[in-house]
Amino acid sequence: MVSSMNQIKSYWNRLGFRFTILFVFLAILPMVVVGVQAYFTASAALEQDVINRLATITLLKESEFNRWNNNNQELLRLLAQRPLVREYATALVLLDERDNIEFEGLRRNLLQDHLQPTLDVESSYIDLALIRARDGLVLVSTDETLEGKYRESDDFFIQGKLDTFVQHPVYHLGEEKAIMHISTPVTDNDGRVVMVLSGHVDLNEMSKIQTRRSNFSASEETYIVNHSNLLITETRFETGAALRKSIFTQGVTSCLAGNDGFGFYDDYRGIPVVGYYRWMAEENLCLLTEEDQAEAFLAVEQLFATTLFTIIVAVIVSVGLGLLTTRSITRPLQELEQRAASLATSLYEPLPTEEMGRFEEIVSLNQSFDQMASEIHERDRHLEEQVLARTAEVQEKAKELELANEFLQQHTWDLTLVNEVNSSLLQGDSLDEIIDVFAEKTREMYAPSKDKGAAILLLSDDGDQLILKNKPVNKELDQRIQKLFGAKDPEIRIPLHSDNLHQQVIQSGEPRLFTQSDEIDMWFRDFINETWIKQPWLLNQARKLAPQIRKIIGDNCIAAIPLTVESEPIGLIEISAETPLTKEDVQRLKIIANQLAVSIQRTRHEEEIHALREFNESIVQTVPGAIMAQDPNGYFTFVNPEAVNLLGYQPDELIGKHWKLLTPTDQHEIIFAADERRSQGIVDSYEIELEHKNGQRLPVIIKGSPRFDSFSGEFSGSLVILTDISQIRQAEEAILKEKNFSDDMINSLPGIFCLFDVDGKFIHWNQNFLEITGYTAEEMKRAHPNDFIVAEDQIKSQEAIINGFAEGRVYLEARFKTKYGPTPYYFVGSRTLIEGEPHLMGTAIDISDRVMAEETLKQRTVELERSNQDLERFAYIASHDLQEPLRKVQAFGDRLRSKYEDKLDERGIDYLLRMQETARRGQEMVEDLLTYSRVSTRGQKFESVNLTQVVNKVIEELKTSIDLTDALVSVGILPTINADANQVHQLLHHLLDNALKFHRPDTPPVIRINVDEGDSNQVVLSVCDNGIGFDVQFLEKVFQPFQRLHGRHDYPGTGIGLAICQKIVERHGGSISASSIPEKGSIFTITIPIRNENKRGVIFND
Amino acid sequence: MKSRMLITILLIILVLSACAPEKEAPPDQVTVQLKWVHQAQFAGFYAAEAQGFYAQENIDVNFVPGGVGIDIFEGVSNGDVTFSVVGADSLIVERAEGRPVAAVATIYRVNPFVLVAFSNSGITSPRDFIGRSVALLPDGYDSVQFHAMLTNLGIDASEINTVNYTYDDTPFLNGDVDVTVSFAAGSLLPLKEKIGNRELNLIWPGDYGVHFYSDTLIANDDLIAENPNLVLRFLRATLKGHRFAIENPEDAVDASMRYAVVQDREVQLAMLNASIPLIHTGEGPIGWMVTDDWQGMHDILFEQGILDSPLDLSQMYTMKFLESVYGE
Repeated sequence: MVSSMNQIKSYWNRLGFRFTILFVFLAILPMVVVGVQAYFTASAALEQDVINRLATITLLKESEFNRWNNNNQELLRLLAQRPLVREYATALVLLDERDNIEFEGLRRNLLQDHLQPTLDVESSYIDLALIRARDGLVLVSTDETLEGKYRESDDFFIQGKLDTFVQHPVYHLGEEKAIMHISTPVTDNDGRVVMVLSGHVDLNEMSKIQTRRSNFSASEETYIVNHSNLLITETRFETGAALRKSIFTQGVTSCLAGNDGFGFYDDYRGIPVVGYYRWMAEENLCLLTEEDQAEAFLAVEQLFATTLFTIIVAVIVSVGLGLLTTRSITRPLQELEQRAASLATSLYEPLPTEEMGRFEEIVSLNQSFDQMASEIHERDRHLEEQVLARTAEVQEKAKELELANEFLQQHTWDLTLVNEVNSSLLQGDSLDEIIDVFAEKTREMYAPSKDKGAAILLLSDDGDQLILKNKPVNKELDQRIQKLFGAKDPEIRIPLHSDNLHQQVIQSGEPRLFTQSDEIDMWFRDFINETWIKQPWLLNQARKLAPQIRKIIGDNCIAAIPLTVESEPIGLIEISAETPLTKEDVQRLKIIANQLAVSIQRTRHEEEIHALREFNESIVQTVPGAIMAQDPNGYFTFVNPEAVNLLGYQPDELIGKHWKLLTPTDQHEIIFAADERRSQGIVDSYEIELEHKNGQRLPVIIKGSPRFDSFSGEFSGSLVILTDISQIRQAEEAILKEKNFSDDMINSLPGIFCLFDVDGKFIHWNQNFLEITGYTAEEMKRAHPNDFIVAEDQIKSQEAIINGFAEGRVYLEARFKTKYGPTPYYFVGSRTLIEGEPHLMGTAIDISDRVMAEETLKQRTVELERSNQDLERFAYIASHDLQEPLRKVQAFGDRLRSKYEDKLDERGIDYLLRMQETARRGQEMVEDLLTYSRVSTRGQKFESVNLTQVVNKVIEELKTSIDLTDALVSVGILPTINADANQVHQLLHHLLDNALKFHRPDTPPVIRINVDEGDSNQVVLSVCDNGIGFDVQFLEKVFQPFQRLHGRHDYPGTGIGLAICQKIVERHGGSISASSIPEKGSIFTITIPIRNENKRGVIFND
Repeated sequence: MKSRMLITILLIILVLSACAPEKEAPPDQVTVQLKWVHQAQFAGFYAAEAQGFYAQENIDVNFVPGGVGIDIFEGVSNGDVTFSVVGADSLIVERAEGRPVAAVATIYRVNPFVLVAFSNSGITSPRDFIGRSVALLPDGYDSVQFHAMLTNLGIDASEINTVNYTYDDTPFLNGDVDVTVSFAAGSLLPLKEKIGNRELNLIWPGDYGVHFYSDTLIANDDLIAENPNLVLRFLRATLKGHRFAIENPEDAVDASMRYAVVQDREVQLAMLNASIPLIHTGEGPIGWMVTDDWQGMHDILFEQGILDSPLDLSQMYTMKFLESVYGE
């Protein structure tokens, strides 16, 4: 095992073996890949080609079939539409088909002039027939044997009556063959179908179309199958299969399901085919074209064999080639290997090229190998020389390095200076300090031993002058100048004119180096100016001193470097150096100057910003609003005193803290949302409840504005202003409470309450409204006031609503419609203004009890009136009828007395008299009763009655009694009233008679009749006497019929008088009352309306 | 080596298929009462048996021939016979008389009843029968079709001289009778043999409004209600056999020859070929039935006084098995 592994390994390590494997692999891989791909591509293409071909054939056959079919149909239609055919057909159906000459003539015409010629021209039809539409009888046919037969149940007849119809082929027994019918209706002039024209089509033609081959392939065939899987055309492989064979192949099944497409399946012979099928929906037929797979894919199989063969050949060839090639390579290599071994032992001998074989590469390899051998010897010789040369080079480089070090030292100064300046800048030093540092450093560089150095002059704000910014370092000069000009520690200013050197330097923007004495003089002269010396003459003198200044200073070189920021001059640096300055110095100074200029400018900006910030902060600190600043993440960076005041936190308690500190958990979302909005640049305000340090909730409105970094444009935080709205909240709550109170009040109302606007839209309602109507609040929003009133009352309610809006107040009694049924309600509406718009406020109460009571009362009254009437009639009738027997008793009594008085003893006479008296009294009572009832039953029409006249008449009538009793009757001024004259007379007669009757035995009666017209509508008549009076306990009794207060013997009468009086007064719509004091007198008071409505009289026949 | 492997694979397949737990239940025993004696008229049934269609449905079938004096309704009515092949018109009449049977499919959708006359007689339609002699079967329902045809055409039957058909065409061939009754898949075939070069006119009742089904497969009401699965399976195999017979007449005749009384292959083949158009007309699948046809048969039987009172159509036949077989 191990040995075989080693063997394989050793083989593997051999070049020849590997080359062979490689060649084989290189040959097989592309061949297989290309071969397989080519096979699949080609076979797919071939397959597609076959399917395409079958599809094309199928479509061609279909269109051929359709054309044939359409032609047949068209022919039949044209024939059916011929005017003569229609005319004859119409006539024919009206005739009896049997033994009728006329019928036979028409039939012959149709047959010979129309059907037969058509048949002769068109060979597709075997015969043509006209079938009577009403019963399916074949009347005319080119095939005589068909005439007289009935086709009433055949599809082509039934469908042919409706439209042109193609019946798919069926076997027809009568004709002993498979036939295909085409039929079409024949109509009369009114469009009625009178006949069906039908034709039998030669199916062989259809078969011919299908079996006609396309010659694309040997095995291809086309056939048609009907919806019952029945083959209806002949096939190539079986004769007589049409209409006999059913085919259930995969292609047919799929096609009958209504699909078009292709498939690979076994055909009806069981042979694998490629099939293409089409479902012809209109004809209910399936058209298939099939080709044997063996034939269709023959080319594919051939291709496969060819490819395989090619691959095998290629593999064999490449194995051979590989073996040959490797052998011709490995052999020379082995040769070289041996010689290389000999090279080390210096026994090297070049080999003639011819011996190396034929390959160019091997030959050149051999040559190179030889050359390499000789070069190796040459190298050895030159190696030492090269080492020496390198050593010299290294020494030279060492020198260069030293020089570079020196240069580096020089530049260290510059860097130091820049560093110093920068560090002072970073430390936030002021401008003055930066300038001092700079001047000091420059001086150290260029004038280390003497008291000279650098001056930094900056442009004044107006740009007119240069001002020396650093402290003068030359004390000697300073003292001299002071001495010369008497100015003490002056601010050195150099005005800029066109003729001075400073101006020139600043304008040019380029550094200048002054080395000539006169130039330096000129330079110093610029210093001496009117800012020091106001007198012109002194100034000129002073300027002459410039050379002396130079001498004092001992300058022999001055460098002037302009300071510019973005090419705008801001000042200049002046260096007075001991040794002449070089151009390099100037360049260096220029760089340093730029650095300084930038530093100056930045420092200036910072100072400005600082000032501005101080200003802003002072504003923020002092404004009355609470202001806070936050970073982008919601942490506070600033709070003003007002905010401290509002929130109760000290600034150091807030700064660096998040909003969460101030907001209760339930408000966090608001804060986060607001931050999110602000980060998008939205300025907005929102309400939120914060938490004061003492834990109280603090409603505030926060107005926040986002801030964005002016450089990066990023959201850098927000400034928020807090407005305390707790007071507003309290006010709102108070309003809400008040509203709740009024709501409660409305809801506690016993009735219903609602409020709606001019459009009838409900704005408000109470709980009762919902409970009583059964409506929900949602339904109320859509409801109209009239929805709550029953239909019969809606006109009334609409009117009330209009009046309510117009007049401000309205009352309405209507039936309130609820979901539970209608209920009578009494509505009070009153107009009110809400937000300037008129609204109607309605309250209502259930009055069903009252209405019911009213109803009951009305009913009772009617009943009562009827019963009263009945009673009155009864009383009238009764009394009337009672009179008769009483009168008889009276009459017979009289007769008894007149004829038999002598035959009676005294007791008998007494009995008789008492009987007569009783009868008389009965009569009297009946009469009184009659009188009483007559008040209602025999009342007269109302008319104008002068009471004075009536009273006078009564007095006249009672004259006897007045005289007897010595009575005094006084009558006041009495009015005229509308009344029943007789009854008024009766009334006053009774009253006056009573007053006279019931007088005190020893006192003559005094009677007063007065009228107290307290009211314009009624008259109050009183009859006052000084008679015996009666006890108040009898007040009720006196007006009841036959009630007597006194003995009959004391005061005569039946006791009906006052009852009649009351009845009369009542009939007049008035009232009567009495008051009395026993033994003093009585007052009867009658109240009667003056303008009584004109009552009709009531008369009953006696 | 290769062939051995192939054999092994085949053996495995065989063993596996044998293992399939399909035929555990014993086959249903089905007896079929045929309408007439064994002949190619029933080739479809024989083919179904021979091709193993019944076996596939786990049915063991037994055919009982009919003939003169055999009541083909009796067995199916009392349950001795599972199915019976009868005439559709006689089914209606027997049903009306209370036999508890109903049709599940109609094999012969076109009635083979036909009237035959020589072409030279000039008789082309029933109208031409007037004053002629017509040979008809003495009884049986076939004459109904004849009379219904006359009724439809308004012909008085008394104007036609009808004589008894004696299953012998000699009177017709001799010219003693002008018209004779015949059966397309039966007596017509030997008749055609005997006429020589003369031609026949065939008068089909179907051309005159009379559309009678012929051989109809019936079953007892109880079977239909209690074992519909058996009915369905039997019908499926039977229809398959008929399809096979139509497509492969030679094979079907081979199957018929096992039973056929007349052991003449040519005769049986001719009979089968003649019956194919009666079974498979191209309109609808094999065995299919149409309400209008049943209604038409019933109406004619009633008009002709064969039925005393109208009958409920739904008692006569059911479509549910055909609909199952054809997946409708």
